[in-house]
Amino acid sequence: MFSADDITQGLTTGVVGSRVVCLDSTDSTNLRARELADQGTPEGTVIVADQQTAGRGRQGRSWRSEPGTSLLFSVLLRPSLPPDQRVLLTFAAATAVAEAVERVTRRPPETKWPNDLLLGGLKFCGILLEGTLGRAQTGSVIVGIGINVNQTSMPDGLRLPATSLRMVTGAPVDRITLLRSALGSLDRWYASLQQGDAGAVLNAWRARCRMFGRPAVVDQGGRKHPVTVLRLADDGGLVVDHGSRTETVYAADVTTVS
Amino acid sequence: MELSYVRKIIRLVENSNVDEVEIEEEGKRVRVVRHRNSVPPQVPMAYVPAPAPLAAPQPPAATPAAPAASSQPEKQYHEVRSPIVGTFYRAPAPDAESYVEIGHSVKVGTVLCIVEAMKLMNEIESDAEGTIVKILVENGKPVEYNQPLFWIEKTS
Repeated sequence: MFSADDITQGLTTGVVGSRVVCLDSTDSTNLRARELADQGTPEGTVIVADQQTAGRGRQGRSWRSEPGTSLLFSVLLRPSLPPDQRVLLTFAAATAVAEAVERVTRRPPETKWPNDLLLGGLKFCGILLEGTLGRAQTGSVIVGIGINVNQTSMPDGLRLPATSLRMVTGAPVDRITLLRSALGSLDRWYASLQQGDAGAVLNAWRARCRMFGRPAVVDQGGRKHPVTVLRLADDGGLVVDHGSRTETVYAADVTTVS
Repeated sequence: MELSYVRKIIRLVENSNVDEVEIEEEGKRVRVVRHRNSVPPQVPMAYVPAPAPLAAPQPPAATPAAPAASSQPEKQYHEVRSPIVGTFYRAPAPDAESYVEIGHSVKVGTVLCIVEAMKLMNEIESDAEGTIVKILVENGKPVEYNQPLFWIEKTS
């Protein structure tokens, strides 16, 4: 159970956390954030839920959560950024969560292009960004984050092998401390992007990435190609080497192989 | 496929400079071809890459277009282009219904599709009111910056 007062206490953010809405159980914090966005809630509104009954991942993939174990929240942003800069919010969100996890657990997560975070090679976090681009291209972006915090085991049959912070550290982790830390980091990286300093965000993300120079498989809608990962381009694309040519990918699953 | 839907397509073709429309939906296919008198057969609706940059919406020609003009049928439609490089999705999930189909009426702000880049799912909204006459990209395919995605026949 969360209380907005507990979360906002000592929070010194500029935008993120301007309003905090706590829910016991909801279908999806991203859907609730969308509703509040349509009602004109201020930028930086955070919706946090103890449990999601219909958590979603990319392209309708489901995201499991049991009450009391995960940290599930969405942040509503209204960035004044052109479309090609808005996509860099993915790197700001992933870096923010990585920093918060490292501060709280002393374990440094790896970033995996573009939005995954790994501890010991296992995924513990899901990030789903949903935005609107229309007429004036000033729509909102909802940053949805789900972190496996205090699970003591993982269900069978997951698409990717996963873990929780408790399973990695062997001790329970306070979700509110983790949330406050993540909101603080997200606020700072969001400010960097808004001020035109995308390079700082990308460099922080690069510093945690272990994909560069490694062989990998690029999966683009079921078509798989073996590549070598070269680098993260300044526009957020991942530059990969096909052997005879290089390519920058923008929407694909890229998995390194050992 | 409903008969009224097919009628709508026929009306759409009649009231346009388009000579042929083919729609495939859930395994059913309908093809509407207009045979113009004394006009040699064209290869209509083939996408001719428009010169960059983003063209302003073209107003419909004041006079009926000459036959030669039908080689560039996109000129009479409002074109919705991709604001980013990414992957084009017609529905929010693989088993969900598409946001729009050919023949659907859309308003300014109607969600037409998603373009995903770096796991940011961008809903692309219509910036015109009218009827969808052509969907230029297949679901799940990569799109380039400024690539045309939809043609909309604007409501005048």
